[in-house]
Amino acid sequence: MNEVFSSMTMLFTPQALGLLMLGTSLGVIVGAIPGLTGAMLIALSLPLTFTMSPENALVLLVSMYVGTVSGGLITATLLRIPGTPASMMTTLDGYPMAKNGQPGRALGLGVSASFIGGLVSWVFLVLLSGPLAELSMTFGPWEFFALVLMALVLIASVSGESLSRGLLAGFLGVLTAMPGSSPATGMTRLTFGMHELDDGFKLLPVLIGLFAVNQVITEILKLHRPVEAITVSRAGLFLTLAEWKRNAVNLIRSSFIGTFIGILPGIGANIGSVVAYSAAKTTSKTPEKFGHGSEEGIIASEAANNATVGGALIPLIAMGIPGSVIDAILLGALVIHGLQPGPLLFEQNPDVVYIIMGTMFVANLFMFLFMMFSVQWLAKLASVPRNVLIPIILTFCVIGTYSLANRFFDVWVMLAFGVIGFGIEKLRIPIAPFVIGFVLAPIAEEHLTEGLMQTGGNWSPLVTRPIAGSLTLIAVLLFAVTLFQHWKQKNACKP
Amino acid sequence: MNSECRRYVGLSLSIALLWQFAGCSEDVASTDQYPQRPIKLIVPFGAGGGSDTFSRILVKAIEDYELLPQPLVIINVPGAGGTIGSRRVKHARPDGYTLMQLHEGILTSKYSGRVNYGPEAFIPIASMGQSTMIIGVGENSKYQTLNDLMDAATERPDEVIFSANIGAPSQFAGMMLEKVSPGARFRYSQTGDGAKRFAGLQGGHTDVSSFSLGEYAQFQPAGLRAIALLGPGRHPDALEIPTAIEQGYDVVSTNMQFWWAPKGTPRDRLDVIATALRKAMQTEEVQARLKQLHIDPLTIEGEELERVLIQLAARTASVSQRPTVELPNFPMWVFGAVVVLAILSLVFGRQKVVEGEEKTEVTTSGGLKPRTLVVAVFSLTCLYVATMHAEFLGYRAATFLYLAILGPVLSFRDRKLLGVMAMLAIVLSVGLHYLFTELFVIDLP
Repeated sequence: MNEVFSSMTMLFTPQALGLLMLGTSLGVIVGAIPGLTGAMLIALSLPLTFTMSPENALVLLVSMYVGTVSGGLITATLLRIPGTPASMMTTLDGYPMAKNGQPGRALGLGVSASFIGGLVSWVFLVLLSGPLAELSMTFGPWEFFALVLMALVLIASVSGESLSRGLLAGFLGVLTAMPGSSPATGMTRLTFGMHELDDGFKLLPVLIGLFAVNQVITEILKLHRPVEAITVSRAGLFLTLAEWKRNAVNLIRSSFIGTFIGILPGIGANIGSVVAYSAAKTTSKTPEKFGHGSEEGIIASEAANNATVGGALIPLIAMGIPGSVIDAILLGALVIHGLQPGPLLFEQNPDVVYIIMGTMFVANLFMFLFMMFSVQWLAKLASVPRNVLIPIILTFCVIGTYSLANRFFDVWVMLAFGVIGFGIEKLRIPIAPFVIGFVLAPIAEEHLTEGLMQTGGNWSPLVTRPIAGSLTLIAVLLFAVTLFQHWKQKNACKP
Repeated sequence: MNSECRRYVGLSLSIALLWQFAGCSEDVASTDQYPQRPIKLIVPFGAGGGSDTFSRILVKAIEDYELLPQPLVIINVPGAGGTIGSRRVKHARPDGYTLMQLHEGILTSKYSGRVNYGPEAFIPIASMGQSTMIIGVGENSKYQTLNDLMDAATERPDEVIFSANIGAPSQFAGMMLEKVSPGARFRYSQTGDGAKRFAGLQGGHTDVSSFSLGEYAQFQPAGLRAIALLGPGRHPDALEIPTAIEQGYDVVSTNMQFWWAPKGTPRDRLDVIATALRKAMQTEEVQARLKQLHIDPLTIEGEELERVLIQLAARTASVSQRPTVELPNFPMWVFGAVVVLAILSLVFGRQKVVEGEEKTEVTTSGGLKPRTLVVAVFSLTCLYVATMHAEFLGYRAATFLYLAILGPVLSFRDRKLLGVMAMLAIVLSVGLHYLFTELFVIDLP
């Protein structure tokens, strides 16, 4: 715990604190504008951090992460448009409550729940990541490979309506990671004679294309729709003691659910809030109120989606395996700043680990204050005309991707993946498994080839080693269960 | 409207030209001094390893003593025994702003057949710091001496796992040992940089590996045990480690760090770097830090450097290379999986048709259909990138023109919006240029 407090003193330099406030408020603002997502903001901000120290860069990026997950609740509550996908479940109860003349209270519930969710998951982040890193120090190549396998199955099975499409997206992501140098032999492959491809497709151009450019295309298609204007009162924004008491159990339970769903590699905030919401509904004394402005519903959704932030950071810090799409970008940020994500991060750069933890705590505090005091102005952001945003985003896409490595090849890659992202979403293939597959493929291949070289081409350790075997078993079971559920659903549809 | 239109086009064109011109004159005025902007130093290994530590010591000294007017920025490009990084530097613009630090791996990766280029593809700037290799095992390993290890490798060929960077000096140390003890064969495993190799030994996943003396110093407190030093005699900093020669194996493996520049980099620019390096090596801090890391602080430049390189090449070429385990063709597998899954989702996914996807083609007040608008914006963006790619216009001019056209297209002749767009064009072109080049020291076209 001592190190945590010493990192806090590092965090309280004017520069770091300024970056933290900037990051959190930018995150909240972007979260409050429907159509702009956290992944987009963080991917586009990454080039700006190249010349910062790794610590400052992480302060900025992590506080943006905290901000965006929280900002989405404003439009979800007031307009029934989730500002970020993670606030989907908040629309169900926040909007009815706001419409019933209590917009201030609906927002207050959401913001307070977000705050508690963030804090609870922060506690877990501090308590769990150290021991987990220690445990994963004993992991060999097979354990890591099994872990990645499980992550891929997990994300493919929970995203999107079809398992085959989820898996297809995952494997398309893996395929995208194939060109370039083989991590085992260093020989280049699938470059089709293009030397620019010797390094493969870089993370940032692909991500900026998939999230930012793709989103811009979608927004242009929606430009003709009028933007709603909203007004909001502050009445009921601060919760009363009775309200806190009444919801204490729900708050804690939802935060726990969010944290643990966040820890599972591959799935992020969206699923966390869905699960917490349904858990709250089944245990509630008044389940009939859900969907009609229930305060429990708002709390469950918002506590859980903020709790996933801390949860998802745990596998990233402890094992170098991203827990969500945004963590995949943070992983890229660590690498760009010369830090080696993985179990050794704790030993070699403990300061960075504690800075991430410290930032998460302070950013949560700041988020709470910032949103409580400026929520009525933030609500107005929803009516910023998209026409103005599009040129800004496009320029940032181009300049950000170029500055990654000073080459235009990356910019073309980014534009191409914008179109690809738009296309595969049109085909109802989810993007999240694509990104996770793309990020995890090199990690998986590196460990698999290492394992195969150690055993002389023998695959059996994948099932015979205890930890690797159990992880593989979980992956297979998960796959079977999802397959069975889909099959049952389909049969139920066909009466 | 028409004249207004013409005025708008005229105005934006002249502003764009103004910046293009302004940018040019700036460039011409100052091409003489070097360096004018930060220099990138590519270190083709992960952070925390021996190479990375070495480069950071030097760079810190250069910065502390202000030996160069601009900062040196270290960029770690790990992967494939350093070849991913070296390939990037090989293709980098030879303007002196991209340099590389790479040890003898540049030779081993050539002679192992991993890449088809060696030192001849670069210009050596200087060689600094010689470090001796050791053979290391985990804390609890049953191998106490080099004899124990080599006997095991002879009795059970292909079973003792030697973790290395395939095709890098760490593997060549193992192959040289095999060469002097007939019948011994290790099984090599690709494990990456020193930190990862040590983690593998500690976790019991591998049996033995080779490290530089610097890496040994770093991991020894955590449990790395050296069973042989691959130097010509015992090292004054680690007298307790017996040499391989003492134990009856005539193997010497030392590792030197080199700084390289892409072929074609002007000689005078390299001299600037070489001078800074030489001065940095002589500073007290560097000498003290290198002693800590057990690296001998020698600096070789010029003709002497050429001779050393030839000698090293001969030594590396003499070790025979044999293929490692046949690995599955991953790209083919993945491609197969994609095809199968695509067919599956075509077959099974078709029943579920999403309800009521909007089919209404609303025309905007500007007269463009949304889809046409998308195509227009996208082509405009491609044109914008192409203009800069072809170095036809600089960033400021190209961005301003791009936004000056994009604004009216997107604002549907809304006067108020048009004003905002004009502001945006100026802010994004000039403002961002300032932000990136001045504050973040990132190059823009």
